[in-house]
Amino acid sequence: MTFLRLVVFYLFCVTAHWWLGTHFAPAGITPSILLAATVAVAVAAGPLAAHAFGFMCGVYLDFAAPHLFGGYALAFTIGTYLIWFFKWRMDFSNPASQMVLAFMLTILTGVIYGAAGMIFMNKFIWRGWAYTIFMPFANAVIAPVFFACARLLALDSEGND
Amino acid sequence: MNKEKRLANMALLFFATLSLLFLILPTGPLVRSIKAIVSFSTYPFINTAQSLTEISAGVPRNVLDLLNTESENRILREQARDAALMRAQLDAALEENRRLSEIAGFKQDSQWKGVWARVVERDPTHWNSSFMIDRGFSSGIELHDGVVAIQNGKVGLVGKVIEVSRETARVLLITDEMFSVTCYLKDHGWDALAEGQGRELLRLNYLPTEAQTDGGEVFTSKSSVVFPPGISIGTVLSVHSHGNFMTFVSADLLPTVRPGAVKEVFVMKKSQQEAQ
Repeated sequence: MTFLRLVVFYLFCVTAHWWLGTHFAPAGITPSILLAATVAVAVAAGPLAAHAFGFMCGVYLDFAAPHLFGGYALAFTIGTYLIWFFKWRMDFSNPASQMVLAFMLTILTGVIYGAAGMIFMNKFIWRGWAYTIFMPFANAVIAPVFFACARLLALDSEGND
Repeated sequence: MNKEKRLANMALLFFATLSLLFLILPTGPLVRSIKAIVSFSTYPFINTAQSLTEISAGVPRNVLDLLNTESENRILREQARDAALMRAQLDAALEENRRLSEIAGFKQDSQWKGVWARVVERDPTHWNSSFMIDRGFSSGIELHDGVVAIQNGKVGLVGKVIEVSRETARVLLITDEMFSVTCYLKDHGWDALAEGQGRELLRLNYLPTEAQTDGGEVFTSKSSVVFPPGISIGTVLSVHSHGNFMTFVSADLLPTVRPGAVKEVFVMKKSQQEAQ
């Protein structure tokens, strides 16, 4: 059942991400729903479900990316692992810590993706100042909503995998 | 806890290896097949959502007059678009004609042939890099077909097709860092190379050191192997000198069409241009 709920949640997030990016992106900038959802699922779900979810979100972004195929999948997988690693040591139950987590992961995935570009394309993939400055804040703002969704879907970690 | 930790390590190892495999594999048939499968699986989903968006944004169905007005408006807009495209073609043909009458021996170019397509998918993480359109090889679109759009009544270059599936295609935008096109300055005839920078402005390189071309319009060059000549690329904003030791100067170029704002594009079919 958890698997089905995750699949539904994934499809919802992909559609919302596509809709927001295609129909509502003032100045070409809009929060990354897939990243916020990955952060929420990484905290709420078990290790296997969380990694699979993060990986699939990354694959969708790679599908939309013109250059590196696999860069986002790698960045989101590593990000999910780090969140899973730290969730036992930190409290992510309140919105403030959830926002900080989404903020940090946005920067981290950007760095990993850029570094992957340096390794595989000999070029750090830079997505502009507007994106770099605005995106972590935008993702931080929407992150608590996805934590609430994950709670509603009862994606609790115990025994999910 | 130990079991979960082991599971997490294994999941990291598995998915990271898979991601690295995607990265390492050449962008050949396998990666293209994976992308085609993802495209094939998500396109119906995206298409349905697009239709629902349009229905929810439309006028009530019982107001027939309004519906007729709306459909008439749509037809007129299409006609206006075609008229603007024809005008750009005429301008390009006139400009081409002027140059050809000066330089003998060049074959006169044909008109642009192609199809209109809608932008159906953009990603905020690659806003200045690419978007997906709702036409694919079933509509005759091929790799490296040129893409133009109309904005403020002017036709301008948007990019080129870099991936094609049956019903969709991905367009690499002129603003992407990997995009470049040979071009010429209309007023001076200088050839140069317009390159994307990952932001809204393009960079115009290899201009002669004496170039002072602020405000000059830049068009695709005859020497471009991908695009037909005479398509407007942008307007020169400012020229930058790199010091005395450089043999060329560069300039900032404002695109004629902002790729981040277009909703519909015209894909120029290369095969049909070549056939003529």
